[in-house]
Amino acid sequence: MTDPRLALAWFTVGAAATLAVVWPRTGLAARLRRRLRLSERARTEDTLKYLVHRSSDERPVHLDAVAGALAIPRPFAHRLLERLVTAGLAHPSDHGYRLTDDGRAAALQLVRSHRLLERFLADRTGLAPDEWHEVAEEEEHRLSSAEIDALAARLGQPRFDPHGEPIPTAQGELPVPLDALPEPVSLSLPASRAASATAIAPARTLADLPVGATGRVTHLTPECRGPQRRRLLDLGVVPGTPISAEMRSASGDPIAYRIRGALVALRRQQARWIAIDPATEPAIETR
Amino acid sequence: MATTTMRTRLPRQDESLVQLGVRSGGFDHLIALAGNPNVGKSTVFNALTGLRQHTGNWPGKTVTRAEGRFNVGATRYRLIDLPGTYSLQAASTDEEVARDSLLFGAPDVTVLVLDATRLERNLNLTLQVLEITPHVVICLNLMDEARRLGVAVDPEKLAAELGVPVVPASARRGEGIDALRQAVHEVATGVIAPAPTRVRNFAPEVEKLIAEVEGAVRAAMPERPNSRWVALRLLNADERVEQTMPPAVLQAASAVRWRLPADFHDRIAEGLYAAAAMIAARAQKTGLAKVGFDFDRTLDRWLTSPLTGFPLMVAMLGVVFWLTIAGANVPSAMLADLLIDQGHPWLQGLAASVGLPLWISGILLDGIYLATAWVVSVMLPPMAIFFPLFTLLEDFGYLPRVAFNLDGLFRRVGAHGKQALTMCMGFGCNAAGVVATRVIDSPRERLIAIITNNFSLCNGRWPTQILMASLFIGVLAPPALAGLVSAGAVVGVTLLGILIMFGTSWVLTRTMLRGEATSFSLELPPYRPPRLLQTLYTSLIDRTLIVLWRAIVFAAPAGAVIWVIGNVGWGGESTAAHLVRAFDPLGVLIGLNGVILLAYLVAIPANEIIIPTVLMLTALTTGGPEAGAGAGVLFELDAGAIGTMLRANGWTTLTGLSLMLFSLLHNPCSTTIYTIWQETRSAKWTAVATLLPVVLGFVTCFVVAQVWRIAT
Repeated sequence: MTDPRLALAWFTVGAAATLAVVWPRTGLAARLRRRLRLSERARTEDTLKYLVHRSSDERPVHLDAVAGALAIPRPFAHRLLERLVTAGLAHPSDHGYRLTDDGRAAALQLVRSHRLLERFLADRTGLAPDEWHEVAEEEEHRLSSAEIDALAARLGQPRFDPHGEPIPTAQGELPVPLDALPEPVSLSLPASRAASATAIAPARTLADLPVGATGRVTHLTPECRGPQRRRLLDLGVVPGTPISAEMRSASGDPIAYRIRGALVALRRQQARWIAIDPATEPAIETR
Repeated sequence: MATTTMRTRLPRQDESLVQLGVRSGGFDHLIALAGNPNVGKSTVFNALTGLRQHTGNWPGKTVTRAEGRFNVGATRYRLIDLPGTYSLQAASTDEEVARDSLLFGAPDVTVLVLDATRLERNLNLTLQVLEITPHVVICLNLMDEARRLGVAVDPEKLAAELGVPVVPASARRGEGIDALRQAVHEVATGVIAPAPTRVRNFAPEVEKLIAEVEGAVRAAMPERPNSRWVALRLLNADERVEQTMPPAVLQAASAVRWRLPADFHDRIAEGLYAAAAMIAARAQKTGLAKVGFDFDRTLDRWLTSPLTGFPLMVAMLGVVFWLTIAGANVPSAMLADLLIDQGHPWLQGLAASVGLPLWISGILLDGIYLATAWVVSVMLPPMAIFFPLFTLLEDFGYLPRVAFNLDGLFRRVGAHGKQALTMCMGFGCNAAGVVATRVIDSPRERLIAIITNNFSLCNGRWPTQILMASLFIGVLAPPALAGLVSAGAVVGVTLLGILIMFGTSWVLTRTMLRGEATSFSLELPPYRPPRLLQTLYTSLIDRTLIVLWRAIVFAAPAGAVIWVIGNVGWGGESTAAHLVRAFDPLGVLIGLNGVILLAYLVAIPANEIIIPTVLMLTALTTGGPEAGAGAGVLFELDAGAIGTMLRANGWTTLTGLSLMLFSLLHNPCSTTIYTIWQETRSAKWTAVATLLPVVLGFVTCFVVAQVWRIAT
């Protein structure tokens, strides 16, 4: 029989090696996948995107600028640019490169793909806001145009990404010329309500409501988004709705609230999204 | 008005469906049944069609679409049950299915089931449905419950407010169902032409945009009567409507859509609820004298208080488990006696008398029949007791309170409180536990519940645990304490399973499932008196028999395989003996042996036949005196004889302990794997749910074995 000490030692080494490979995001497998995803297609498309963002200036974009922006060697950048030229998406001029009309249209579809993906990630997944851009940046290169259109249809043809940036339509329609738009920066969600939220500050939320008391909803905070926001709206948590805290669960959280006649359990984290006006009226029988 | 509303239907979808052959199935009208979760929609469905379909006191019960038929006079109706949803915003799969069915499936009539006690919330969905189709009949259900709660809804006023027929009903008692059929018939045949109310008071910014698009629609198609509705659909980018519009309108709508406020959906929800509140206020009277005292509130105070909530929960679940284990013993023994001790020899005699070749009777009787009989006798009685009891608690409305109380615990590992229930269900049967995860409507939490369900020590694994504990753990203690110690060991393994369930859930939420969408919601429905007979019937059909059938389907071929590897071989040895020898080094390394590993490989369909398979393989490889009925034939001995036989073959305390651990931590049985596939339709998650526990099992057993060997 194998010596148990030796077996354990081998096992520890093996387990450590396995973890080093499969560890999420920093593991070897994750790194390799990221590397592989930056395929030729991705590099070419990134070049295209860079060109479109820089082409607002009248001057053409120089090879060195592309190499610098994409952090790739000059010959590689040259190859990518030449590929764009061959495809009719760019043309060389004045010691640099300019996009053709086709190139502009192709770049617009990339932007569409990216922003739709961000919309999707924000609305339909549990990823944190700081990850949307990164994931969309990888995924945008893998979708075919049919897949992009299907995604748009599934999301109800959204017009804006979660940062408030416009999403070009399938026909390439935008409210303003693309190159006049800023690079997406920060999270600004639902703009109009976010403003009113800060105006009332510091708002009281449902989480502050003692059991037995009733409050009236003033708004949902911007952190509440995607499916969570939809669900709360559908349950009747809209401005003006009276909500009374009815009972605490045995473990203290969640708490059951009477909302539009139904008894609904909400976690503390959810209750914090619901800003209320602590009504002076006593707990009313809402059934 | 009648002709106006008739024309608001989208153009001729019915024809395309006829061409597709959807309506060639011998019926005249297609009826869709929609409604909020937990309004008794499935009860209405059953009452309308006479079909039995399980209805729990739960949201989101109807995941797979049920279909039924009924006739009114000579007119034949086909009824499809849509998933229960709070809205048609298409924010979840259920909502997408419901919306697409109404929008594109073009039912002739939509029956909307409303909960009379929660009118406002139900009207939200109603108003959304009325935006899509005018051919609606409202079934105002739970009228009896409303009376009990002191709520009175005037159906006629509600009908006047909504502009569609309203039929009051108490589907549980069958009240109002005939009238509902009649109303459906009248709407379907055009006797009644509904003129539905549509919400006209959205926020001013939204109204302004609607008016702009409406103007464009009117300019381009002045004859179109429902321009406002078309405008609203265009703002929602409804493809079906877009297809019927000239380019000028589309362009105008597209331009306006750039100016939609970011909180457009918030505004729409607000508008809908404002209208719902107004309609409800006009149609209902609240605060009437309640019949009797407030039963719900008093009960809730006891069942959810920190002082009494947990003890009552433990007591109630304890009773359920005790009844299951104690109650199943006698019928299990009787079944085993009938099917195995008497049925098997009798069948063998029969086979011999008709001169069946030995290998055929071997495969059929010793293999397939015996394995199936074993599974039935061990599995059927506990499930037939456990599932009805559980369903009774579910129908009564207690289980949502358990989820409510335990959510605090599950929240910390990223799971949903309802996982407490699917976990409990898993103690009965993991396949049933996986099916039960349908009550969790958030994708991430549901996957967690599915993947970790196997850590609930199912009923099929209890015999292995109890046997190993009494043979190898109990004997370490003084005889007086042996029983207590072995029982403690089994409880310990069960608790370890729960601990691992929590740990795995925690890890999964932080790794593989990070990106899955999550949304918590848990509605606590009012308590409803459970219906004993219906519960018994549906839980037997829906849970027990379906699970048993799947188990039999998988166990039968496994029985054949077991017999074949025991009887077919080369080099003078059976295949089983070769395999046992091949597996032995790996088995010994992790504290087990080749026999156990092979047993788990061939007995993958059902944990129930692990011990008989282990005994058969042991006898086969050693050719001991207990070799019993013959090679490849499953058998069982009394505990003492098993102990002697196993020890003679080198089993130690470590082997027993490792087998207990491995029985907890190995792949789900094939019935469960198949069920996971059915529920997730994803090869990836099925693979994860299958491999994760077995990898954990190998690692745990390995580490325990090495530490044990170093320590002793």
